[in-house]
Formats: sequence, C-alpha cells, structure tokens
Amino acid sequence: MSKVNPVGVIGAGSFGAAIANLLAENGPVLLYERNVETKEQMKRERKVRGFDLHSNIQLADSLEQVASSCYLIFPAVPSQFFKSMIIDFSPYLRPDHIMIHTTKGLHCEFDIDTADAKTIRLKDIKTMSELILQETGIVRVGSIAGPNLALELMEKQPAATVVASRFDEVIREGIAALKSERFRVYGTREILGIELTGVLKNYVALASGAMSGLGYGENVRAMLITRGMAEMIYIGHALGANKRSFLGMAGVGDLIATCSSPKSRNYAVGYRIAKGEKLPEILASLGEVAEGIRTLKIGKLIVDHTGVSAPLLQIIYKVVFEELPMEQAVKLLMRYPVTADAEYLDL
Amino acid sequence: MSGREYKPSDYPLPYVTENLRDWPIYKLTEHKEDFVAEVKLRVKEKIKARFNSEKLLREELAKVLYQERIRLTEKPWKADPKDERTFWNSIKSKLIQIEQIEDNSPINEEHLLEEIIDRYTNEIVGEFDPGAFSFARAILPQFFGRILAAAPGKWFKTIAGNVRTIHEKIPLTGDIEKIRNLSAKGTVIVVPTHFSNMDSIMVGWLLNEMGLPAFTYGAGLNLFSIGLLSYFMSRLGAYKVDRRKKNTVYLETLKMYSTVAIQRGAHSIFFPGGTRSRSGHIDRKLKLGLLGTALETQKLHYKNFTEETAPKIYVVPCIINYHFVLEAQSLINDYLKETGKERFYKENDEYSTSFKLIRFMLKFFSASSSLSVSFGEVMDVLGNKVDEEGNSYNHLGQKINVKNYFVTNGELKDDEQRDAEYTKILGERIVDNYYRYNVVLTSHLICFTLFELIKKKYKGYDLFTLLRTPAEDVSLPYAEVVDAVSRVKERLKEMQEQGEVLISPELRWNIDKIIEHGMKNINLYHTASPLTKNGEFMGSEDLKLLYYYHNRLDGYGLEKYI
Repeated sequence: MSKVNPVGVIGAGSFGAAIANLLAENGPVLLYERNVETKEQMKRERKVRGFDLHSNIQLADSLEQVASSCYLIFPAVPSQFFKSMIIDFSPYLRPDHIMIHTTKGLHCEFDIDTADAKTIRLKDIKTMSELILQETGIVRVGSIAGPNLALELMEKQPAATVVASRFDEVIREGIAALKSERFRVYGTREILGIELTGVLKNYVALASGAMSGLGYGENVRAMLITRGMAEMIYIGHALGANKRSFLGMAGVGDLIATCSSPKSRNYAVGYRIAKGEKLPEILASLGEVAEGIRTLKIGKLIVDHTGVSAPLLQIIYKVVFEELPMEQAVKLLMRYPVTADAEYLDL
Repeated sequence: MSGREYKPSDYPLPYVTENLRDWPIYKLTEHKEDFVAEVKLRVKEKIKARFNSEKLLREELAKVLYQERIRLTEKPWKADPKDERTFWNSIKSKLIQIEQIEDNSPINEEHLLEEIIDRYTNEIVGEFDPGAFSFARAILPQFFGRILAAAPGKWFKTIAGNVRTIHEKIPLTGDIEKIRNLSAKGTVIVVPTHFSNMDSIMVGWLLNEMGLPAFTYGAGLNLFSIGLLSYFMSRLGAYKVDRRKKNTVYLETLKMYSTVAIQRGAHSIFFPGGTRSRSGHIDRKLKLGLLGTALETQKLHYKNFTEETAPKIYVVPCIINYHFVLEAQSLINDYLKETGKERFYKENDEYSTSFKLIRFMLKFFSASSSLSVSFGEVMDVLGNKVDEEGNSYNHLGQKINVKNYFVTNGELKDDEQRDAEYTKILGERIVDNYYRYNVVLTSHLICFTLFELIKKKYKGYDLFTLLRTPAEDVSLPYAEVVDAVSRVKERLKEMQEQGEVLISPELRWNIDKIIEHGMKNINLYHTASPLTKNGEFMGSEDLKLLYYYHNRLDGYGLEKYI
C-alpha cells in the first residue's frame, strides 16, 4: 500500500477555503496561504472565514512543500495574481503533478486598462490552464467550474460541479478527490468551454445584480440569463470553444446561481452600482476581488477585436465605466432587435 | 551544442558502432524467430484484452474479414500473394462454423485471431543482411553521387548556431554529432517529411553517411513488387506496410511490430505524414498511430528497467526538400481530384514494374539537381529538447524526468487516452520543427511568389478556375516578380533570424541570380516548365505544378508580402 498523499490547495480565499474543506472530507489536504498573518491565524484558531477548518487540513509553509508532498493540486487564486503565483511555484513542479485550477478569470499579457482592441492579439489572452502550461512543466491540467457559491459550500449545502481536462485521467482524479454525498462532480474534455463559461458569466451576473438594484423582478432576470447565455456562446465561439459547455452545469448552471444570488460578489457589485454607488467605493469596501470587473474590461477588448455582437456586455460596460444611467441602459437593451428564439443552437 | 563539426571531406563519417553484427537491427534478424513470436503473442493479448468476450472478438473478426474481402475485390495489387483469396475464404468458413456450432467447434475465435496475426506478421517482417548491406553501401554513393554532383552552390555556414555544413555534395544541416552520440546511448527515431518515393532511400543513405547503424522503416507493400528494389529493401531492414489494410488486427500488428523493434533497440524511420504529401504542403496533420509506438516503448522501458538504466528514445524530425519532386504531376492531380471529397486516397501503384522504376531512376539521375536535408531538434517522446547527454529539458529550460509523465499518484500507470494526448503533443512539436527547420530553396521561393502574384491578379477566381486558366494567358512583368521576390526574401531572412525557418545559401544572392537558379533547377525535370521567362515576362507552362511547388511555403504568412 502506498501512503495517501495530501491534496494541495493554493490560496485560502473564500473559494480556496471551501474547496479545501470539501477535499478534506475525502483525505488529507495541504493548504497554502501566501499571507503569513492569515495563515498563522488559521493555524491558531482552526477557523477560516468564520467556518471551522476541517481537521484533515494542514497548513503548508511553502509552495515547495506543497509540490513535494502532493501529486494533485488545486490553485484557487484570483486571475490577477495567478501568473506571479505560478511563476513562483514553477521550479518545484514536475510532469507527474496534476493541477486543476478553480479560477474563473482570464490573464492578459498586456495592460487591460490601456490596450487598444484593434492591436491586441487574441493569443495574449490566456485561460488559467493555458497559463499553467506556459509557465510550468505540468501537462496534465484541468479546471473546475459550476454553480459553487463559496458560502453555500461552506455551509455544507449540496452542490454540483464540472471537472474539465483533455486528459480523462485528470477528470478521474478530480472526481475522486472531490465527490461526496453532498457534492456531485461531472466530467468533460471541453476545458476551453468550461473555463470561458466560468469567466464570461461574471459580467452577466453583474448585469443581473444591477437589474435587481433597480427593483426589477424575475421576468427581467430570466430574460437576462437567457440572452446573456446566448451572448456568452457567441463570444466563446469566437475564441474557439464549443457551445456545449455553455449549456451544462458550469454554463447555464453557474449562470443561474450567480445571477440570482446576493452572495455572488459580481451580483453585489452590479446591485450597488444600480443603487447609485460609485465603482471605486464599492471595490474598496468589498475587500475581495470581483472578477466581473476584469471580465468586463477583457470581454470588451475581445468583442471589439473580433466584432462579435454582444449588446449586453457593451451596455453594462458603459454603465460601470462610463456612468451610463441604468434606466437608459435598460431602454437600450429593450430596443435591441430580436433574433429567432434559441438561434444559438444552430451555431 | 555538440563538441565537433564535420567538414565535407569527413564524409562518410566512421560508424558509431563499427561491427555490423553489433547493430541492433542485425540482432533483430539474428533473433528473428524469437522477435516474431513476441510480436504475435503480444498483439494477440492486446486484441483479446480489447475485445474481451467471445462475442466481441467474433464480431471484430467478422469486421476484419469484411474489410479484407472488399480490399480483395476493389484494390487488388500485383504485390498481393496468390493465396489471398483462399486464405480469407477459409477464415470465412471457419467463422461461420464457429457461429453455427459454437461450443462444439474444435476451433474458436482465438485460433482464428492467431491465424490472421500469423499471416500479417509474416507479411510485415523484414530483415537485415550484412552482405546485402555492404554491397548496397558500395554502390549507393555512386548512385547518389550522380544526383548530387552537379548541385550548384556549396552548403557552407548558413546560420550561426547549431546548423552544420556537411559534405560538399550533401546539403545536410542539423546537429549531426548529437544524433550520433545519442544513437549510442538510446534508440533514435527519425521522422521525415514525405514528398517522394525517393525519401526513404535518401534518408537511409544519409543516415549511413553520418555513420549511424542501419535503420528499420516501413515501406509501402507495392514497392516490394519491384524485383531489384524488393531484394534490397527486404534485406536492409525495411518492413512492409500495406496502407489499404485499415482493420484493427492489421493496424495493431503493425504497431506492435514497431513497438517490439524499438524496444529491442532498433533505430527507426517513421513517415508521420503517412503517405506522400499530395498537395506539396508540409504535413500539418500527422498520423499518430505509429508515432504512438515511440511513446509506448518509452513507457515500457520505464516499466522494465530502473530509472537509471531505462534506455531512452529520441525523436528527430527531418525535412527533405527537392527542387523538383519526381511524382509532382501525379501527386497534385490526385490532390485536386480528392479535394472536397471525403474519400481515402487511392494508393496508386505507380511503379509496379522494374521497367517503370528504372525509367524513373534514369530521369532522376540525368536531371541532377540539388536538394536539402535538414534535421530538427533532437527531442524526447513528448517533444522536449534533449541535450548531448540525453537529458530532457522542457520549454522553460527546466531539466525533467520523462518517466514522470507516466506517473500518477507516484506510480507508473497505463492510460491509453493520456498517451494518445501525449502523442498529439509530440506530433505538434514535430510539425513545428518541420516549419522551422524547412530550408527554403530558390525554386520554392520563385514558385510561391509567382503563384501568389497570379492569384492576386485573378482575385475573383476560385482555385479550380484559376488552375484551369490556359497557362499561356497567365504572365506577369518580370520587374513585378523581381519586386515581390525581393520582399518575400527579405521577410524570410527576418524569419530565419527569429528561428522560424532556414534559407538556402543561394537566397543570399541577388534577385536575378536567385530567379535564374530557381528556374534552372526546377525546369530540369518537368517537360512542361513550372517557371518560364519570355523577354520581360514570367509565366508558367503548368499552373498545377506551379501551385504544387508554391504550397511548400504556404503557412508562413508570406502572402502579406506579395
């Protein structure tokens, strides 16, 4: 019998903590947190974000320790910090490591605040799995995405997710590590689609929050989710992803969850904008990263570069960054010419 | 970088392993019975594991029988043995017998499988005869010497770095010393581009010039119907590949043959493009089946040996460029006929008689022209670069242990799907090398430029209409061609600096001379000249051929510079 190696988790943010607790139900977990104070506090109190840290979780002292103790590693680090983390990690990583990331964000090789949509190259926009392949010697890479609000996972509510990888082996390892009586895990080889759907849903969630902020109800939300998904499919298609992933657990599933829940950060940002708060104040008070803001900026560059029609993205962008009043935005969206219903299925 | 460079006068290089009887390929022949028995046994086990019930296996055998009977009626070849029909008829009646009386039958599915595997293995197997080898070695240099003798231009230093110059007459570039060293440490698999039936002979001869032990390679079964060629090929390590047979049992037998040969250390040549490039394009889509055996064997070595003693497999891309391809005409016609139709290529039996072959060779001799052969990076089975000692380094320059690719949770594990993905990665690296180590010849540059200019002039035409335009109607002012060639050439120089392509030394000449050189070389062979010049105009007598040679430089984004 070989000894059971712990599963590594990088980052003790809300999702990292939730995933570590899930993994800990099936075996030992080694959790790495870059912030020393946070780490020491977790060690002392055995608490993470107000919840109990599972007894199977140990805190790692270094990335090197994670690499030498674990074969399976889940990074849960926001996209803007992902590259520097992976570069630090890289010297210790080997081809027998399997890495399944949980980050619903994109990395850009250019400055997203100053880039010109005409001159960017799409290959400079990378998913986290592409970044792992680029910066490490790991080949067996995967991604998870799904309707997984961290808070609900921490509360031990039932949920489901999707593990995606071009390697069946990675899918199998991911499922074995994660699945439990309260966590269903699906598998797919369509990793690009799974990563993109997880990212693109962020701005739709933001729009949904904004609609609620205006006091609109469920009809508006359902319309928004349905057309938002169509738009995500078109953008994904332009980037080479199959529509299939957008219709699954990580696509429409995640979209419904984040568009309906005040617990979603992206939703909360939209909600507060509609209530008249300014973006900088919101971001300052949030404390954590709202991937939706980055997604909006990157998404805008992508649609302007490729010419994909994405009215929702364009208008929400104007609301968030150009102070277009929400009422005006709603009018513009309602006036937009209608297509045949569910026309994206023919794509 | 290797320790030493070779001067033209150094060739042929001394053998890395002096005694022919110490060569892995000779040992394969020496233990032929044992080798063949291992192939048969392992392929049987593999197929049984895949079709793991009597019913599944029976269904698969019925499928094999069905496919073979179709082949017999639709694609008969001269090379086929006389008893083909008898053999498959007997398989058929036995299969019916098994189906009808099942448990009471004296024979079962496994017996039939064995019979079929026996037949396939015996057909495929090749050998190595030192006598025939020594004889061939004595005559081949004269044979090739003739072709290369008139090669204009010398291949002295091209680019700084690991490009080496060789033999005045052999335009060979690449890290020859590294390939030699590693051939003694592990098993080398050379993966060349495939444009002509001459390729395997050409590569085999060059590897010999480099002092490497003989390589084994799969040659089309149809080539074995030619008496003289068959005599040599079957004694110089070639094994027979029948591309008409696409059934599981045949493909698995072929792959197992290759796997066991590599496992026993036989250096091999694979043409990963499968068949010759019909369109003249550098292969982009590789056939991964045979390539996968390299990876499979490496994994088996890690299973059977300790980490320190496991032999390593090295993959070396090889790019062959001819100013003209002997079969260009029939290849491009095939391509244009097949484009848009989802059909298998009909494997043409072009050289089915010794007479045809001799005529073909004579043309090749008399039309002496230069060619170039270039070796890409030496890689491991995942396409990582390998140093002089055989150590692997990933794209970040980190030293890595190849064994780890096959390890999951600390243990070496089999996983067909994973290995197939790995083979795809290897295939991508090989294709990348094909483009980066492709040596641009003058004739290809001119053909590319002229065809692109014509395309631009007839913008509204689709490809087929354009190619049907009477050649005499198509001509362009010479000055315009000169301008465009000059722009494309400058771009190619930049690309060479970036390591994206190699250019032949003649490309450093002035444009008039480049055009003259290109025209002279390509027109040596073809009766209708792909490139013509009448006074102040350039044109082509055969647009299809022009298109074919143009395609060699397609995929580099050079159109923008026209």
